[in-house]
Order: sequence, then C-alpha cells, then structure tokens
Amino acid sequence: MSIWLCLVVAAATNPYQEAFERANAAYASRDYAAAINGYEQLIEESVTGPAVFFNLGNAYYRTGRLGAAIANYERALACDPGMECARENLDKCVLETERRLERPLPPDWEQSLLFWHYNLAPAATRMLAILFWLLFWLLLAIRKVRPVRYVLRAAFIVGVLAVAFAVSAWVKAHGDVYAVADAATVPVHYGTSDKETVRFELYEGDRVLVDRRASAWARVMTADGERGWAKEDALAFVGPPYERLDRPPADTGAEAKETP
Amino acid sequence: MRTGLFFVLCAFSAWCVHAQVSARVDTTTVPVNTPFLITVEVSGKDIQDPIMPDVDGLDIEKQPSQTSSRTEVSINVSGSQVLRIRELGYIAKATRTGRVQVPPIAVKVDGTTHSTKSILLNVVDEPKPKIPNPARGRTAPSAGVPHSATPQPDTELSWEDVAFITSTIDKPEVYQGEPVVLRLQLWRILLDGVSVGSVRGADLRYPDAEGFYASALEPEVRREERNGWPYEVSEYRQLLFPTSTGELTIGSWHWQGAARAYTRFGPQRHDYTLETVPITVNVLPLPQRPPEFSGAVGQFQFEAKMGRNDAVQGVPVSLDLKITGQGNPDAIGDPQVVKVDGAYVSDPEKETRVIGEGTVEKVITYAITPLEAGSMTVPEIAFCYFDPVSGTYETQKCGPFTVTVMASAESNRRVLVGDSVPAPEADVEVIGEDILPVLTDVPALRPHRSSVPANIAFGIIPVIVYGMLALWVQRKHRFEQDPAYAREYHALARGRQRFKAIERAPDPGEALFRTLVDFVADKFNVSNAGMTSADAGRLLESNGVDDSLIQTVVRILRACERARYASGSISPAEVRALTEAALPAMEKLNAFKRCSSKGGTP
Repeated sequence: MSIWLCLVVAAATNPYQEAFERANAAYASRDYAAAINGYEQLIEESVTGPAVFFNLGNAYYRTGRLGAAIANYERALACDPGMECARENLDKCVLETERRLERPLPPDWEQSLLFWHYNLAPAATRMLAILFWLLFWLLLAIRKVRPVRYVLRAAFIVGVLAVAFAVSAWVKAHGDVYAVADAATVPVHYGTSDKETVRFELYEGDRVLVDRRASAWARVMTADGERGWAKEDALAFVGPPYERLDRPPADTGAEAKETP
Repeated sequence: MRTGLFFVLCAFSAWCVHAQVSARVDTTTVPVNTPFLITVEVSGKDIQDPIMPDVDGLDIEKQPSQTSSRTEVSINVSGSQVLRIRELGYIAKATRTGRVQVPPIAVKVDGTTHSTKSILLNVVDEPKPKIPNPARGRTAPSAGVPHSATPQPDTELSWEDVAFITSTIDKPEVYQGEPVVLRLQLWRILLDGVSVGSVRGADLRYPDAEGFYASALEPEVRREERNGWPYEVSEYRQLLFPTSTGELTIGSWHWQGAARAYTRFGPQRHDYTLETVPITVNVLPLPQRPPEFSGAVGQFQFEAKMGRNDAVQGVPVSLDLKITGQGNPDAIGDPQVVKVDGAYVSDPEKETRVIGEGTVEKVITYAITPLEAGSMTVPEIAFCYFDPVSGTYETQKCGPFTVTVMASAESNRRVLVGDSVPAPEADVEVIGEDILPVLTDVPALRPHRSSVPANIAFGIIPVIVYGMLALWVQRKHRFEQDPAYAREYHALARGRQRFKAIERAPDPGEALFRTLVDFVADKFNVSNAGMTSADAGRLLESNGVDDSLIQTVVRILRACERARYASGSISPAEVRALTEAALPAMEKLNAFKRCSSKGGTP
C-alpha cells in the first residue's frame, strides 16, 4: 500500500510533466517564446515524446518559424508515424512553403526492402525485434528439449522476422538525416564556401536529405535530385540528435545576395 | 707472221679472261641520309672481299648486305677457262649534300689486287614526303625501326606513328562557370595490313576534372591527314564548367590498345598504354555580381511568350520563359519571379534539355490565373547572365504583356488555392484553417534512456540460456545412454547419502559393507552381486589404485565381513570409526577415478 502511495505521489510530482504543463500554459497565454523555451528544455533533458515535438512545432508555427515547425512535426512523426495531428499540421505548413517540395525519398534499397516499416514507431520495431529474438531462441530451446515437428521451420521464420525488425530499428535510429530550411531563403552552393557559385536556393520549410556534413556546411539533396552545400545554421535538423532550434533565424539569403 | 698473229690472239684471249673488278650505283644522285646500294662486281678464280674505303661525307657498311655469285666458262683459242663472278652489295648513306667521290675499291683477285673506278655522287637534300595512297597499300610498320624526325612515306613507320592520343582544351583561361571544351583524340592510322583497336572491355573514361561540372558531347569520328599519313580520328568531347576559381587541373587521359601489322618479318603486334599530359586551366572569378544575376554564365537568348492575349476569369493562361544558349544548364537560375496583380501565379514547371552541340534550352512555364475581369498586365521580366566573351553582365528583358480578361459566366464564388489572394474577399473562399491545437493530455513524460544496454542484454541472455540448456540436455542424454557414466557420476553422492543412514540402520555393519561395495561397483561399473572384500581388492588393484588406499578399503570391508559372519554385531563406536575411515577412502577413490578418466596421474 505504501509503495503504491509512493508511486502515485511520484507520478503526481513528475517534474517533466510539470514543465510540459507550464510550457502548455505559456502557449495558451500566447507567450510562445516561453513555450518554445519550455519544450526545448524538455527535449534537452531527453524527454523526446511525440507530443513534445508536436507542441513545439505549433509554438514555432505561431512565431512564424515555418522551417522549425516543419522540423518538429517531422520529429513527432518519426517518433510516432501514426500521429495524425502532426501529419495534418505538417501538411498545412508545407502548403504554406514557397515550393511545397516533397520530402526526399529514402534510398531505393530501403524503399524496396523496408517498405513495411514506415508506419511503425522506432520503439515498436525495437520491441518486435527483441520479442522475435527471444521467441527464436525459445523455439530452438523447445526443439533441443523435445523435438517437435515444424519447430525448426517456425524458428527460421521467427529468426528472419527478428533480423528484419532489427534492421528496421537500426535504420530508424541511424538512417538518413533530414533537415529543413530554416531561413527565408537558403543559398545552396557548389562547394563549402560563400564564394562558391550559388547553385540553387531553398525556401523556408523545404525539406532536404543531408548526406554529408563538413565544417559547418551540409551537403543537401532535394526531392527532385538537386544537390549542393548549405550552411548548417540555416537548416533545422530533424535528428536524432535533437538540436535546439530556438536560435535567431539565419538570414543567409540576404547575405548571399550581398556577397560578391 | 702467222705464228706471231697466233701469239697475239692467244695473248688477247688470255686478257679477255683476266680478272675484272667494277663498282656501280643505281643512281649517282642520292638524297642525304637515305640509304642506297653500292654494288661491286668481281670476276676471277680466287676472289676475296673488297676493302671498303673510308669516305668523307659517306657512311659505307664494311660488310656486304647482299652477295651473289655465278660461274662462267670461257672458251677461246687458248683453251677453256672457268670464271667465278661475285656481286657484293654494300649499304651506304650520304651524310652531307654536295659532291662526294667514292674512291677506287680494292679487291684481291687471284693473288693480285685490282681496283674499281671511282664513282662521283651528287648528294641532294631529302625529298618532301609524298602523300601515300592507302588504296594502293603502304609499307607496313616495322618494329625496331627508329622514328625519323620527318617521316617519309617511302620509308617505314614507327609504332608511335600508328596510334597515339592527344588531349586539348579550347581556352586555357576562363571565367568561373564559362564552358571549356575538352577534346580527347585517338589517332589510328589507316593503312592496309595495319589494324588498331582498344583493349576489349576498356570503356572510355574521361580524365579526372575535379572542380568542374562536366557534360559529355556526342563523340565524332573523321579522317585526317598528319605528316602525310592518313588517320582515323575518334574525338571525344566534354563540356567542362569550372565551379571554383584558381588553377584547376584536368587529369591525364589514359588509353590502352593494340596494333597488328603484317610486316616483311611476318605479322607483328604492339601493345599501347598511352596517357596524355595533365592540362591546367586558369579560372577567373566573376566580377561584382548584380543583384538580379541568375547564376548563368555563357551566351544566352531569352524569350518570353504568353499563351494567349485574352483569357477568361479563373481560367489559367500559360507564360513560357525560354532561355537558350551555351552554358551550364544547372547554373541557369530562374528569371525574376513573376508577380501579377489580380492573378494567381502557380509554381513554375521547368524543363531543361540539350538541343545541340553544347547548346541547352531551359523552359520555365507559369500558369497565371486571372482573378478579376478587365486587363491583366504581366510586368517586364528580366534575365541576367554573365557573358564571358564580353566579360560583362548582360540583361535581357521581355514584356510587359497585357491580357484581356473576360468575366466568368459562373458564380462569383470561386475556390482558390493557397495564399494567392492577399486578403479574403466576400466573393472568394480560401481553403485553409488553423493548425490543430497543442496536446495537453499525454501519458506521463519521462526522459528517453539509451536502449543500447538493454538491447545488448536481450541479445546475449537468450544465447547464454540456450547454451546452458544445450549442455544440460547433452548431459541428460549421456546419463540415459551411458549407464557406466551415470553410475560413476552418481556414485559418490549416492554413497554419501547412504552413509548418513548407516548409524540408524538395523545392521550398521551390513549397511556400511553394502554402501562401500556398491560405491566401488558403481565407480568401476561392475556388478555388486556377491562382491567380497577380496573381490573389491582385486578390482581396485587391477585398476591401478594406490596400495594404501586398497588396503584401507579392504580392511573396512573385512571388518564388516567379520561382524557379518561372526554373528556378532559391531559396536556403535566401531561403526563410527569405520564410517569415518570409509568416507575419505571413497573420496580418494572418486578423485583417483576422475584423474584416471581425464588421463592424469592420480
């Protein structure tokens, strides 16, 4: 009884829950800067639930930071691909972008082999991988103790499933890095220097795939295959890791135009 | 008188068959540095090789390159005589122009030295190379013949002339983004009996051009003449657009191939591994860029065209912007974004294609939907690019365009997309609503901890458990299938268990005897039925057990036997003493058996 009471008290005084509610209250009172700060602090403390990202996306949207809002909706959907509210808000934000660029697609091999894993949350794939792994060894153990018909075949199938879910979990944790343009215009150069010719421009909210990072520059690729180098500070990385996005928005577009 | 005349005739005929020596050349006018033949003809019975003189302005080989001989029979009034005639050919080459005299050449014939007449040569300059006629066939290349500075069609070719490669650019200095044409040429000679080919499977690889955006052009094959020889030239071209400034290097071009030729020595083959010299291009930075500069570098034509001059309210009209010219298609930016009052301008559709030799065409199409009836004006559209020929930024402008918009016959309510209208008007409904609100009712939040240790644990634990289970199953199977192993394995534990009950047994001596005998029988996997102390002693001895241990075991068993057969029972003190002695003996026996099973010394 006393243990149960302690648990209830601990749950009632969950500091993260309190911080979340404070940030929500700031949002409700239209103090979006305080709300952003609250949500970002929670994320800094590794409280990375989809609800936190979703609310942070809303707060950024209210402050006009379309790129940061889209990045956070993407984060929320990465944590929980079935989060319909995040998908809806993301679609609305994308409609407000200049070019309404699609999200770059994952590599072909991933689309072919892991076509089934896009609607699964990373935690779910990890749990399924562990479950099938344990089941695989359990079946092998059963076969060892008492050989039963079809147990080996079942173990093989379960083993394949365990590997598939493990690959899915790994890809979700260490797969492609996505970023979102977080300035009105983000010039994309041929090389990692402001002096390089501008190849094309990203508009705020454009989602890109980052395939390389070097000395504060990121090589980005858009959905239509355009590729070049953009400054990292003009991009909001989807993560993980989840970087704070409440820095002053970069104005690289203007700088690039002034740079001879 | 008649006798005198006879002697004269004899002397004349004898003179006629006298040894004769002569020298000749095919022509007395010879080109400098061109080999020709000096032929020495000698007749006589015993002919020795001529001694070729050293001549200023003439190199004569000391050994003949050609020799021939024949025999003639001379019959005259003095009788018949057999004469041998030899012809010796010596290769000579004049080393200077002008008159050169070949002095008399001495030849020893029949023991007498004879001399030829001197020959005067007129040495002239080398002739100009003649244009060979491939149709009539040419001299095939000959391996090992040095390549002369000026090849002569009448002479032989070197392998270096048969096939070679070149790499050139049209401009050594360009602006950033300005196209440079890189030409890679493979020259292959066109002669009968000579064939040149690339190594099978060796695809064309353009040289490394780091710092350039490259675009390949269609390759060309043509016939050309070089130094009087006909060649087939395969030309591969690339348009290179420098993307950074400074000195950029185009790497070497490599080609591997082989040539086959039918020479006078038979068919011959030569393998080639050729590479060109790297080329350096000096790339100049673009001058101060105007704000409207699109990024295009090259020479372009800009056109803009409205699809129609009249339109209906709400029905889109297309606006095509076409940029044509020579330059990097990826660097051609869009002209200034079209903004039209009272109309919605869609996102542009872009299409870039190559339409000729390095000429690209980029078409940008906007769909402009007039929202109001009346006159719609599309403002002037400008396209700014850098012209490397003039070294200046050029701006081409098109428009403005005016379109007459007729009122729509449909309802005034119309559905529009996005933010094309600055403020919602009464007759226009804009799709779009606020974003969904923040979430407040969420499950308890807690920090996300790294799942790596848990993943590792979940990964390893089942493997370990399975391994232990496998070992257990294996042992179980052995117990079932190997009774000797099972008896031996359990003997000690079973013996200890029985020792605990000895004191409480009705006949402790009998119980101790049976326990010890059963232990020994189990350990050595023999039947315990009827086993006596003597049997146990023999069994232990045959298995190499230590004598003192055998004696201990036998002594205990005999004590038990005595009590058993002497109808007297053992006192509790004796039982305790025997038990205390028996237990260490069992453990020693167990240790001995374990060591002997492992092959060690007990």
